Amino acid sequence: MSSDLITDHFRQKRTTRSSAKRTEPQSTQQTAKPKSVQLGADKQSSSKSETENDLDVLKQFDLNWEYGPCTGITRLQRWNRASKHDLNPPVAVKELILSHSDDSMYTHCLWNDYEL
Amino acid sequence: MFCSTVSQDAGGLLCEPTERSKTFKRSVSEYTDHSERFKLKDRTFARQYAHMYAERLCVMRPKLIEAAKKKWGQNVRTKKLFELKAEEKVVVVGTLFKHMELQPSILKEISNEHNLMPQPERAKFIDEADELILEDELQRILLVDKLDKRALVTGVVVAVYGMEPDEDRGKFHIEDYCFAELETQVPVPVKEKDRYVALVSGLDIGSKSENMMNLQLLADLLSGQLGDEGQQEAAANIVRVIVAGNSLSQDTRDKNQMKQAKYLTKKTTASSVEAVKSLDDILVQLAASMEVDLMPGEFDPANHTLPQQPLHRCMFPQATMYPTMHCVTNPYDFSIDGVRILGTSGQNVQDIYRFSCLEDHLQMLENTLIWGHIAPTAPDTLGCYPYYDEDPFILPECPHVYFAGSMPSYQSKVFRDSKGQKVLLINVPRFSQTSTCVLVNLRTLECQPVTFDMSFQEDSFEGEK
Repeated sequence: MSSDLITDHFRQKRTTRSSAKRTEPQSTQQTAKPKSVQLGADKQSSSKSETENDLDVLKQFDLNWEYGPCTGITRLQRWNRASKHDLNPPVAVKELILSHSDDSMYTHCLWNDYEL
Repeated sequence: MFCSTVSQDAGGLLCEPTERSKTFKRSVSEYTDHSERFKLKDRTFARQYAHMYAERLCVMRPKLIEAAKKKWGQNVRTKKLFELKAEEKVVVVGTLFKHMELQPSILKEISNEHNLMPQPERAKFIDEADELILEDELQRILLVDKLDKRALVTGVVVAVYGMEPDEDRGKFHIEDYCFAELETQVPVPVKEKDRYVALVSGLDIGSKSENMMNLQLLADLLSGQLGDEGQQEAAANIVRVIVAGNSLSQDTRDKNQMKQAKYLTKKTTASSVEAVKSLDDILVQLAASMEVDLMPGEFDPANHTLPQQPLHRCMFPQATMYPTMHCVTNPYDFSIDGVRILGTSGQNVQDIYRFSCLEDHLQMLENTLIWGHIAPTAPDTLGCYPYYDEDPFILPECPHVYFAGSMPSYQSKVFRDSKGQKVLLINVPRFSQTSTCVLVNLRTLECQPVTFDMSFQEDSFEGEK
């Protein structure tokens, strides 16, 4: 019981970068899975960091106060509203959204998963 | 005016019936509808109202900066709240928020720690301790001096000139303030003949005190069946009638019925069914001879939030057979013969009455024009659809005629703005209580009330004896 940590049962979610650096207490059953993720991460790090960059750009677009509130509407709707008011939102953001129109991580705002 | 064209002798009525009687053709007017923005395309309610306020501020900001520069000089500096420095006189543009202690709050009601009883019904929710706060995109600040907090309501966008003193941070001391100017009016084309638009509101059909006799008189007058040839000729110049809300009475909204168990209410029909049938009977008489616009009101079977969508045509099977019958939105914006008319069924004015110290309904209507927004209290205390990319209640163009229905009495005034433009303000009274409708002359832009009085006095019968 004393060695039964909550982290044994709830797998800690990590980004690919920090998982390579950190060492965490893990039970024997779960050691295999994170290691394989780490191995895979090294090979695909370049493309993953691109998507991370893209998502970061979109996140900055969401957090920019000049374009108004971001919750409850899609990023494309917010972009169109901003351009209607001549606020000149970056075209790169629109291209990103349109190129990944089936992925809700791109099309919807940062707080999409949270209910009203 | 309308009555002056009536022939002085009633000789036309007191003669033998003739083979051919004179017929008069009703005048036709050009009509353009501008209410597209009030019709809802999609119905997603899973949105917060922050978008509406952001949109309102974004659209009104350039207008306010322009008005501010006109009033206080071109060199006056406009700053956002986060850029404010102490002891610096600047102009700040933002939305007003009136903090009212007595404002009904659902959170206070359901909060256990206060052990509060539900708030008693009040006519006005204002209090001496109310505070005015200015909000822009990022911050808010308390306003002191100059602004009459009792006369203002939440949601008005204003430009204030003043400064934040060093010893009193967090408060903005106002020296002067201004609102957005009205847009330039499109000039009305000159007409030769008199044309009238009839405005009527608050028919309140379905109540115990409904006035069907006077309503029938109204329908007869407008369709040209009342009066002699002179009056009929005058009535032929009425080109359109607008029923501005509350055609059904408050009594048709039976809350008790909703709370009762299903087995008790299974066989009963809602009282609004009978009322709608009566309304259809009146409307078919009107629609058979002239253009009719029916606006929904507070107690009509339409959606509660503004903008109210048009009543469904299936409710008026007889009247909608005629192409002259139109069910329109509330608020309603249209132009007829070049005259731009804008109006609501009165909910916006009623809400301002509840949350300000003003008593004069016409003054409140004038204020919405000065503030540049039809319903500033939406969405705070007046139900509203959660728009995200537009605020359709901002006045797009300066109207020539601006009316509000379901008002307690008839009032009218010509409002002149700083540019010298004239707007005719009309308070259309409740027909069930005043039996008065309003006729607006499109050529002279004047209006007059027409009252139907059917009181039979006891003395006249005694005389016959």
